[in-house]
Amino acid sequence: MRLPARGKRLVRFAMVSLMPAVDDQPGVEDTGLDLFLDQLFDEAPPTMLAGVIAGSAVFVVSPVLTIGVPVWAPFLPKSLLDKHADRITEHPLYYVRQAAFLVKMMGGMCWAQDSTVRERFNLEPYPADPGTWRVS
Amino acid sequence: MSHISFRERGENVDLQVDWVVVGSGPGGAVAAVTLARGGDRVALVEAGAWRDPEDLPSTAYGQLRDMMPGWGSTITMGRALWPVVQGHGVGGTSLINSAICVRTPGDIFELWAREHGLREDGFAEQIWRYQDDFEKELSATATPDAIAGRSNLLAAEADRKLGWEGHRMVRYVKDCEGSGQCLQGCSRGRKQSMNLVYVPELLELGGTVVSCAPVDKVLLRGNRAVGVRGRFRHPRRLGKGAHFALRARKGVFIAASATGSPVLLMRSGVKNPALGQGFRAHPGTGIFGVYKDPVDMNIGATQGWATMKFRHEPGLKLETLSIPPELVAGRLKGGGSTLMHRLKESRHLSMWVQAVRAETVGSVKPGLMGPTVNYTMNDADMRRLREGAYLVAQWHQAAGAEAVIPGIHGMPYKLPIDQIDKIREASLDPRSWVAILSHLFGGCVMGTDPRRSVVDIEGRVHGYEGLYVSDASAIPSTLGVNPQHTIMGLSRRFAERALG
Repeated sequence: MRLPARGKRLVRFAMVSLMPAVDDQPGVEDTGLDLFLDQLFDEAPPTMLAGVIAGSAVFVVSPVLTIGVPVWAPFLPKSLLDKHADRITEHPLYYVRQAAFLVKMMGGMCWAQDSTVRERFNLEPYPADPGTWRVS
Repeated sequence: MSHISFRERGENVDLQVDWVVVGSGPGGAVAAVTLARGGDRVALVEAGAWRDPEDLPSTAYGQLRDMMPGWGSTITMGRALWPVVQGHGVGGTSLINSAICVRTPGDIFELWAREHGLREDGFAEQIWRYQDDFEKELSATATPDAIAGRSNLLAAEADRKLGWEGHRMVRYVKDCEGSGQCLQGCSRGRKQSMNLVYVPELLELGGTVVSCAPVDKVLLRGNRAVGVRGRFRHPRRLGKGAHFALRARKGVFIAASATGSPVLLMRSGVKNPALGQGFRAHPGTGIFGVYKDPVDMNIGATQGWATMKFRHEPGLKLETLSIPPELVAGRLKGGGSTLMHRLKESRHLSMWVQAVRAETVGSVKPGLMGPTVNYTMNDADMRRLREGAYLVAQWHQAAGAEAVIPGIHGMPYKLPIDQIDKIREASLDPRSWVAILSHLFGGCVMGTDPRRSVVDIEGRVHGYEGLYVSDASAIPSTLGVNPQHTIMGLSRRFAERALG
C-alpha cells in the first residue's frame, strides 16, 4: 500500500505544478484531483500507471536540466518551480518533454472534465460516468 | 439471438457455428451481418465490452479507459512516439471516429491493379454498389449548417475564399445534434456506429455476439481454420475469466484491426513472409487558429468540413477536427502558470488538421504488451506534414484568425497571422511534432503474389482454407481519404464471395 500512496503523492505534485490555479481560473488541484487520482490508480493498467509515475519522477528530479538548479522540484521556491514546469515541456531532450507531456495530458483530463472548467468553456457539465456495459 | 459477455472462471463457453468473425469494427461487423443475411450461423467475437449510448462515459478519460485498446498505449516505436488511434469495444473504431463516409477513389483501384495485381472486371463498381447500400443503411448525411458549429462554418467560408473546392463532410449519422462528442462515443445515439446498426441486426438474424473476449489464437487443423479460442477479460478489473472456444464449420474471418489482425495470425502460427509488413497510415497533426471572437469549437459537429484539393499533390487531406477540452490542455505547449494563462483563451481556439497520405512503410509484430508498430516517417513525408501544417495555417488566415498555434517543437508558441510562412522552416525531425497515426492500413495486405501479400482479392489467406482477413489490414496502400467506407466495401465483398 505504501508504494501506490507514494506514487500518488508524486503524480499529484507534478500535476499541481504543471497546472496551477491562475487568477480566477481553477488549477487541477481545485477540480477533484484526489478523487481523480484514486480512480486512476484503481483503474489504470500497470503499464499506464508506471508511465505516469515515471513521468512525474522525471519532473521531480529534472530541475537541474531545465533551470540549472541541482535541487529536486519539491524543494524549489514557487517561482522557480513554475519556471521548471514550463521549461520541462519544451526541453531539448525528447524523452524529458514526453515524460512531462504524459503527466500534463492526464492532468488535463482531470482539469477539463470538471464542471466549473466546462462552464468557462461554455459547455454543459458532463453527465455522470455510468460505468456500465451490456451484460446480456 | 444471444449475447455472451464476460464469464467468470469456470463458466467456459464452447460454441459451434458456421462462421466466426473476430473483431466488431466496420470490417468485422459488415462481414458478420453479410454472412448472417446469407442464412449462415455466425458468432462475432470482440475483445472489448458492448456499450450502448447510455453506457458511454462522455469524458476523454472514459474514452481512454473504455474505448481504446490498452488505454491508448499503442504507440509507434521509431524516431518519435506517436499514438496509434484505434477503437476497442463492440463497434471497434466506429465507436470513436467521426463517422466520415468517403467513397473509394477510382485511382485506388488502378493503383491496386498496377502494383498488387488486383484486377477483376467490375471490382470497383462492385465496391461502389456496396457503398451505395451502406450510405442508405447508415443514413449517410452531409453535415448541415444548423448543427455544424462555428469552427466548421469558418472553415467553409475560408475554403470558398481560397478556392479549395472543399465540401461538407458526409457522415454516418441520423439527426446529429452537433454535441461535439464523436470521439468519446455518441451518447445521444446519433452516430450510426456498428454497435447500433449491424451488430444488433446480426442478433436479429440469429447470430451470436461474444464480448469482453480477446482471441488468443485461431485454431488451425492442418491449413484449415476451424475456430478460435481465448479467455474472457473483465472490462474494468481487466482480470481474466473463463475460457471460450468458438468452432467454425465453414471458416474464420479476422477483422481485429491493422495492428491486431497480423499479430493474431502470427500468434496462431500462420506462415507468410508478408505478415506484419506493409503497414501504412495517414499520420496527422492539428494547428489551432486563434480568433478574436469565441469559436467554441466543441459546440457543433466534431468534424464537418474537408477539402480533397491536396490529395494528389502534395498528398494531404485537410479537415476540421474539434478535440475535447481535456485534450486541448495536453496539446498546448508549456506548463505551470504559462500553460494556464494560455488555456484561458480556449474558447477562441479552433483546431483544423491535416492527414498525410504517407509513403512510409512500417511493420507490426507481437510485443510484450500488445502489437508493436515500427514506423518512422521518412523525409519526404515529413515535408508533406510540414507543408500540410502551413496549408492549415493558411486556411485559418483566410478564416480571419489573428494568430495560429503550430505546436511544433522549436517554434514560437504562437505565430502572428502574417508570419505563418515560418512554419515552412520548421524542423523535419518527427520528434518535433505532436502527431497521431489514424487511418491505418496493411499488415495483411491483399495481392496476388503470396511472397508479397497475405490475402488474395477475395480476402482469403494465401495457402489456407477457411481463413479470411476483412479489415484495414488487407488494404495494400494508403487511400488519401477516410477508410471506413472502403473497409466495409471490401468486407462485404469478401463475405459474399465466401458465401458462394
